Amino acid sequence: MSIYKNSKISVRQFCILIMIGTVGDSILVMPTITAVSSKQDAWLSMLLAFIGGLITGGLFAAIANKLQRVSLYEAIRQRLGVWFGGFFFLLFLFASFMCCLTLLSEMIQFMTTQLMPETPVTAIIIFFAAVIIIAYRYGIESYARMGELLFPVFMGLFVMLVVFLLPQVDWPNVQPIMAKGFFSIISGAYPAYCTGFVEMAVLLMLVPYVTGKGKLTKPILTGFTVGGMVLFLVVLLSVLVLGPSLMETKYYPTFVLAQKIMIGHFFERIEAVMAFLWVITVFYKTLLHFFTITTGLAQVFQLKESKMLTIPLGMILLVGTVVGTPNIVVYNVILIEYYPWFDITFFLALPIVFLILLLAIKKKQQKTQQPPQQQPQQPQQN
Amino acid sequence: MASVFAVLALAAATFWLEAPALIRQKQFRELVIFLVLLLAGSALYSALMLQVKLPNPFMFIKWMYAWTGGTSTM
Repeated sequence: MSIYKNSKISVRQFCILIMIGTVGDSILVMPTITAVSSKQDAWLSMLLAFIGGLITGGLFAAIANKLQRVSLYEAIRQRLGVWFGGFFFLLFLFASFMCCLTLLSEMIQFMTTQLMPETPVTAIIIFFAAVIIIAYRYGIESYARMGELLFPVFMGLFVMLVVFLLPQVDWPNVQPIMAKGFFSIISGAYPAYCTGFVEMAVLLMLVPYVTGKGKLTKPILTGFTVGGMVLFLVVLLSVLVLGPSLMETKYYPTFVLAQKIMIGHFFERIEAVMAFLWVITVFYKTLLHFFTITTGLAQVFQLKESKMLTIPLGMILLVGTVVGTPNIVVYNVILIEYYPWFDITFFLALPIVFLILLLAIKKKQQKTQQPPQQQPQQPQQN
Repeated sequence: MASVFAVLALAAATFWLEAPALIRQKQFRELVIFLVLLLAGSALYSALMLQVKLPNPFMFIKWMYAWTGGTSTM
């Protein structure tokens, strides 16, 4: 990992990476995911998921602070040993690999169904994966700076989307509120929470590269808050502009939202420009997961370099994506029905285990350190 | 078949790009991991090009969590 040995990113860049990563693919799929269960209450589901997301952000912040700029693998290895610690960490890498597959799948589905229907799927993945590989090889500093540069563009496009859609808001779309009860809201909130917030456990891999020694609670929670707000506004606008029926049946309601923008019959059909907004976010989330896999593998096998793993891993990801997405219907059923459980197991339960380990082993160290510290004091007291 | 040759050419190009530096710096552990991944990637990609039926990785998730009955049963 020599390319990353001296790499450092600022707290601000770390925060921006979390913001963009949180929005990630959720900006595309979140309205459909929430509307399937909670219909017109999708915005309430998203609000619930947002609150859950902030609590999860607090958990990740606690782990990040406990790490004290040591890599996650190093911290686990010190406590569980090479084999057991390596096994736990490989589970985390496996989850990131699967998440990378879902992100690439969503990207190709979006491109082939909405923007480039006649382009072969493989060509789209090759180009998208190539950009990710190149970004990784340039190093974390480069793409963190790029994130800093693209973030205002992203926010500008997002504000434009919100403002231009305001004239089309139809308030009766949100009524009746809670008609199907509270459980349908929870049912909609669960996949939204997993896709939007839990998958950002990969931020723990960035911790060793953040400058300074200060606590990371503020940047993590800020990132989750801004990202969550963006997602909440997207779901709320989808309900208000499209209504629950369109949200549920359209695969990419956000894209339909962009198509709805029409100012005075001269400013319209700007969805292709808006597509840039979610290409940025999906790209960054995929890059963070790709970073986790590649850097993580290099750490587990104690390699001095990691960039040579990028092309072979890219090839494996390409195959996994093509095989994993036979059609959009099969994929969406798995994504909504089963994938949240996978996220909870590997991106929430596993980090909780990591946090318990970090806390428990520290207590052990304190206990073992106490007697030698007290021994010299005892003769003085006597 | 031409696509398989393209995959093999890509693998050869990747090897030519990465391996000499690793050998020169005597990073043999890195070389082994790189070769294992490259072979796996090339084999899988070739199988895909030859239209060999490969297992769907997402079906593994479905199999793993079938006992939950999916989120719609919540």
